[in-house]
Amino acid sequence: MNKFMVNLLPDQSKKEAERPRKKNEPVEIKLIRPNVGKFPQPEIKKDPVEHNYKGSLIDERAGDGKSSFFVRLKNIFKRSPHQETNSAVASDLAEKWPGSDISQKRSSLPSEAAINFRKPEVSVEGNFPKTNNSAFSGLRNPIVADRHETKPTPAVGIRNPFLSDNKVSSTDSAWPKNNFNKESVLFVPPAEKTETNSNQEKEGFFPQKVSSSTTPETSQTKKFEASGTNLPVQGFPVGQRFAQNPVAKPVGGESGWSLPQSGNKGIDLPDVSLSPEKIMILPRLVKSRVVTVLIWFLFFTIILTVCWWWNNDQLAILVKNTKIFQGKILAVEKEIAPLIEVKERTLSIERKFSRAQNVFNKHIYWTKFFSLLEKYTSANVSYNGLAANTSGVIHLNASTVDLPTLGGQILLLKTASDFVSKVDVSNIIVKTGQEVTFSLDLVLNQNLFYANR
Amino acid sequence: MLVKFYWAIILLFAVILSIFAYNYIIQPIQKIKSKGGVLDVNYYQKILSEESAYYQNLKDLSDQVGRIRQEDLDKLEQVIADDSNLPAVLNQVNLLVEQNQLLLDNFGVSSADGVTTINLSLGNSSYESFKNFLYGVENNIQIMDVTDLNLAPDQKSFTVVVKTYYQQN
Repeated sequence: MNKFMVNLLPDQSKKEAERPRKKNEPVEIKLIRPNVGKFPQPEIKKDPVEHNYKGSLIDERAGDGKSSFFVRLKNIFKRSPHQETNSAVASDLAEKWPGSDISQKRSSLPSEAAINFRKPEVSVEGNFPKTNNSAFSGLRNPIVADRHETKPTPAVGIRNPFLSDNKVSSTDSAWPKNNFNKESVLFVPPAEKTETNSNQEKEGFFPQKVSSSTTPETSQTKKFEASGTNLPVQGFPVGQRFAQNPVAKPVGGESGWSLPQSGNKGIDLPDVSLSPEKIMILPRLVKSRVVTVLIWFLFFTIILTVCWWWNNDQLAILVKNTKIFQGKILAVEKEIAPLIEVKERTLSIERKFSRAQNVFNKHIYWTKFFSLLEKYTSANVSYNGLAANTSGVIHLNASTVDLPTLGGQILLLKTASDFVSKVDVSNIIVKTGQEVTFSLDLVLNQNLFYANR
Repeated sequence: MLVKFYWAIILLFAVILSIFAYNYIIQPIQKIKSKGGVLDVNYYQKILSEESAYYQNLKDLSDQVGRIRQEDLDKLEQVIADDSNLPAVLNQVNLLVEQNQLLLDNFGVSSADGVTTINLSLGNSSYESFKNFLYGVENNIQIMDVTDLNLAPDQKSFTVVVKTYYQQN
C-alpha cells in the first residue's frame, strides 16, 4: 500500500495553523510519497520524493471515516503541447497512488489535477480532522455538484457559493476558471466550538452556520451576506491535529454538520471518480508506447536490412572477384596441360639420370684391384686361387720359393699404403726343397673399387 | 506490460535482432570471406600466382629438355634401362663371354628392386681372360658391377656375381 502524507500547512506555526480557512483558499500540499522511480520528471520539476504543490481545497466527501478529501492541485501538469506526457503524469499518479482518482481538467486548466483521496487503503496523514464532521464537510466539489444536481449533498453546512441558492449548474462554469484563489468561502467550525481555541482543540472543527458577529469581516463574507447565503464566519484550521475524534452530528441536524454516512439509506455519496478520463489516458499512453516500440522495431529492422544488403553487396563483389580469379586460373591451367607431358618426361629423365649417377658413383672396378695386386706382388710369388667380394677383405692363398722371398713380399705389401691398410700372413708351410706356401689376408683401402677416388 | 517495459522490449528486440543478424547474416558471410573460405579472394589470388609461376617453370623446363640431344637420352636409356629387360642383359653377358672365349658353365638371373642379379660360372679361362672379362663388365654401357668373384686355383674357371640396374617405375 502506498503511504503518503498530505500536509496542508507544512512548517507553519500553530497560530497560523489554527487560523480559519476559506474554501478555495490557496493551500500548499506537501505530498510525501515513496520514490516512485520513473516519474515523468520533465513535467514535475520537484524533488522526486517530496513534492510541494500549490492547490486549493475543494471539498471533502468522507462518509467512511477514512479522511477522504478532495483537493485540486495546481501546476501539477504543465501546459504542454505534449498531451501524452501529461497523460503519462496522470497515469503515473493514478498508478502509484491507487487510492486516488485523478483527473485533469484540460478544457480550462491543463495544469491542474483534481485528486480525490478516498480509498480506505490509502493512509492519509495530515493536520486536518479525520472525521465525518471535518472542516471539509461544508464544501462541495462543483464538479461533483454538477453531476448530482438533482441530489444535493445533504447535511452540508456551507454550500458552495458558486452553487448558492441551490442553483445547480450543468456545466463547469459553476467552478470559476482560473479563479480558485480569488473566490473564497470560509470554512467554519460549529458555532459552539468556535468560541475558544481550547474547545476547538478538544472537539475539532465543524463547519456550520455562524453568526455574522463571530465571522471575520471580509469582503467575501460581505458578498455572501449580501447574497443571502449562510456564510461561514470562521474557517477551518487546516493542519491542526485534533485531540480526539469529534462525534458526528446527526445528518440534517440544524446545528450540527456532518457528512453523509455511507450506509445511510437515501444518501447518495458523490461520485468523484474520474475514471473515464483515466480510461482515456491509458490507451493514449499505450498507443504512444506502442508507436515508440514500433518505431524502434522499424529502426532496428531497417538497420538489419541495411546490414544484410551491405553484406549481400559485399558478397556479390566477392563472388565477382572470385569468378574473375577462377577464370584466370582456368586459363593458366589450360596452358599448363600440354606441358604436363613434358614435365613427366623431364621427371623420368631426371630420375634416370639421378639413378645412373648414383650407380656410377658406386661402380666397382676390379681391374683396379688386380693392377695394384700385381704391382705389390714379388716376381717369385704366385697366387693359387682367389675368393673376394666388395666387403674390403681379400683372402689369398699364395706360394713362393723360399722364406726370404716371403719376407720380401710381406715388406712389399706393408709399404703398399695405396692398396692395403692391413696385411696378415698365416699358414706358412715350408716344403723342403720345393716351395713355401702361405695365406694372405688383405684389408683393402676404403673405396678402392670405385673410380676417381 | 508494454507500457511499463517498453524500453526493455525494445532492448530485447535489439538484442535478439543483433544475435540473429550475427548468427545468420554476418557470421556466415564472414566465414566464407575469411581466410580459406569459399570466397577468399586472397586464396584464389595466391593460387593464380602459384599457377602462373608453375606455368613459367614448366615452360623453362620444356625449353631445357628441348635442348637435350636425343643421343644423350639414348645413352642414358642404355645405362639405366626402363625395366629389367632381361633379353638385353643376357645378350650383353653372352657377348662378353664370347669376346673372351669363355665357356658358360652355369647361369642364373633374378630381378628385384631395380637390380638384376646374374650368377655366372665360366670355364676355359685363364688369368688374362678372367681380367679381360672383368674389364668388359666394368666398361659395359649398361652399368654392371661384379660383387663377388672366385677364381679357381688352376685359374681354369671362375664364378662371378654380376649386378645390373634398371629404372624402377
